[in-house]
Amino acid sequence: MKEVDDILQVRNLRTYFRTDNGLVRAVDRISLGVRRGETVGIVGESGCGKSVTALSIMNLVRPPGRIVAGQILYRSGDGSTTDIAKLHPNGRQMRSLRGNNIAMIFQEPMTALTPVYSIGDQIAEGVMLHKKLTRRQARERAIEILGKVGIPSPEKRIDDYPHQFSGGMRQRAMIAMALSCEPEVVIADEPTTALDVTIEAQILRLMKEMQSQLDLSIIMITHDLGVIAEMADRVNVMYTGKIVEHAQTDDIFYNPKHPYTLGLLQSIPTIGDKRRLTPIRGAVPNLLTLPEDVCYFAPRCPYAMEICAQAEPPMYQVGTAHQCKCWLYEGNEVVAV
Amino acid sequence: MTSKLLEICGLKKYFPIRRGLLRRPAGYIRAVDDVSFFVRQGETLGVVGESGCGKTTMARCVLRLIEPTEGSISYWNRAGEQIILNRLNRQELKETRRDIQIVFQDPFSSLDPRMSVFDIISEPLRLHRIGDHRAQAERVAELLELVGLKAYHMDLYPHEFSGGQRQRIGIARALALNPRLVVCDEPVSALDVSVQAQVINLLRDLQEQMGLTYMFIAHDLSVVEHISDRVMVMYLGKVVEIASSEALYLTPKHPYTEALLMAVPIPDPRRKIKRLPLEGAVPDPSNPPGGCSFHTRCPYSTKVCRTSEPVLMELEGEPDRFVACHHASEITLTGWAERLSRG
Repeated sequence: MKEVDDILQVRNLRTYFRTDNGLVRAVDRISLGVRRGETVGIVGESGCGKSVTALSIMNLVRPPGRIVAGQILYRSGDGSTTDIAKLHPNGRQMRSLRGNNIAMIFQEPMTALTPVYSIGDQIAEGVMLHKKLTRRQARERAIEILGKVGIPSPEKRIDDYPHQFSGGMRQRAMIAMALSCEPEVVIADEPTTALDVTIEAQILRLMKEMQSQLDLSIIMITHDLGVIAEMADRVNVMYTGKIVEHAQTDDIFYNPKHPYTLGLLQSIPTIGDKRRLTPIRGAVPNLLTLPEDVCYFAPRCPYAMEICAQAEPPMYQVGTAHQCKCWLYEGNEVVAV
Repeated sequence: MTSKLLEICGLKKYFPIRRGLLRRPAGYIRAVDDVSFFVRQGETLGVVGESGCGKTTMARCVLRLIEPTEGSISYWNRAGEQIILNRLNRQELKETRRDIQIVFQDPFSSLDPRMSVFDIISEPLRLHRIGDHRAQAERVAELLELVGLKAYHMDLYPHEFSGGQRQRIGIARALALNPRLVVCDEPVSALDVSVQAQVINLLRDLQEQMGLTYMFIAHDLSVVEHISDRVMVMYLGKVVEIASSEALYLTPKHPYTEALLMAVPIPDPRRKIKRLPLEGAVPDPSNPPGGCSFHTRCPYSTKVCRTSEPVLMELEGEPDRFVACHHASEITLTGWAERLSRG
């Protein structure tokens, strides 16, 4: 991997939650890189740790959760590198980074926007804070960016409140907010899951347009393999807090290596294909009851071997820019993290 | 061709918008607006549409969980007699409801957390006074096995199960009375992908084993297309197209159907295309546009679409194919044809 190109690099990140019922290793030793201008997908089912990964990168993990170990290296345009994992979540440095350099688009625009401020005020707040603009300048900036994300007559809609917007428009407003300070990295956590398909298509298209206009790096977090195929350049597949496979998007769909990835692909119905689905047996396990140092997918895996229940597989290099965490590839080169 | 099991004619459900001190209706939300269709014995009719298109309201009217404003719902019972569901009194309705059951969307809120699995699945049996406690326990055990759970699960409570297992419990409850028609309202949309496939396969197996008829409602076109024999597309309270799922996929006839097909992200990076998504959003159902309700977003619309409302009609030369579009027989929907040819 050419690390020089990476604008963001996550190394061996662990985010754990200490709950009354025990320790939840929500994100467990994951590593991933994001290059300038590309879209990296993180795909997985509920509870796999994909949202906690996003929150960790934003340094927004709240107790009882905590980033326990690892690095989140952000390399800004001027060449300086910051380890987000080392910053205090409420510290000055983190606050100047968050929203300004790295921004986030949340799943539920209704809960992520506050109902008591107008859309314009919510966008202007961040701009005034980060870009040191006056109220009037910030308002102009907000109108401009709302227009850019396709809100018709933004100079009128800017004073509307979130409830006056439709679901798709709210998501556009949230994208506008995320882009208002011209960040370099945008993390989108299930940005279209709450939307209808025709609106989803609009939002995905908008994100692509914004990306090419602003040379954005996007981390696309979703459970939907269709959205991944549509958007991502590279994909990380997550299962129970770990990345189990990483590859170019085309390889994930045409040359999947991990049994879980294969299982996911065989589980989804495709339009025009009536063949019986081949689901993965069982269900996602409870993170609380997992033993350490085994393959967590083994109980559901059709290829499970003895070793899978005894030791955790390392990440193997299984092809060009293609890694897979599975004992089936023992003998391949082990990827150092 | 097999016989009809259910026929809906001119179904309407209007919800009043009440305003002011006297709570007088200031207008109506036309949630279901003059919908007609039928379901054949043993088939799966998929119902697809975006949120607010009236699919759930329509299903609830069919089950008479809510009373329709207008229209008739006919059901043919085991003896082949036609029964008008919305004219039945309480006692008659209760009898007929044994044949028509529902599986709900959210397996977390549709099961009472204070009831054991036995209580949940045997409730329909108790309501209809079928068997004593022992016979009911036997039946519950049988149903649990049928949906892929174990007999001992009947002593547990819903919180002890995963989402997929809960949905299986919901299905077992729906099957307790040996129904003929099962309405599945978004039965897999709350489930993870890997578990969703298990439940879809289960529903298909049960249909084969028990000769069930399904009305399968979902917003996910790929799921509906996969499980259904015929698919009905709804938009703003109206049916815009009904066709066999193959025909719908290969040659959509209504512009909205095409738009839906084009919008679904396909899990295949080599079939990515530069698509032009449908513009705008679904109009306000309390104030739908005149003429064809889709004309505001339709790329093919002409003058007639703005002034007169198209009727759902069987296409000439294509039996079993119903489209509500002025231009159904003349326009070629180019976008989807192009995409298909790339696949």
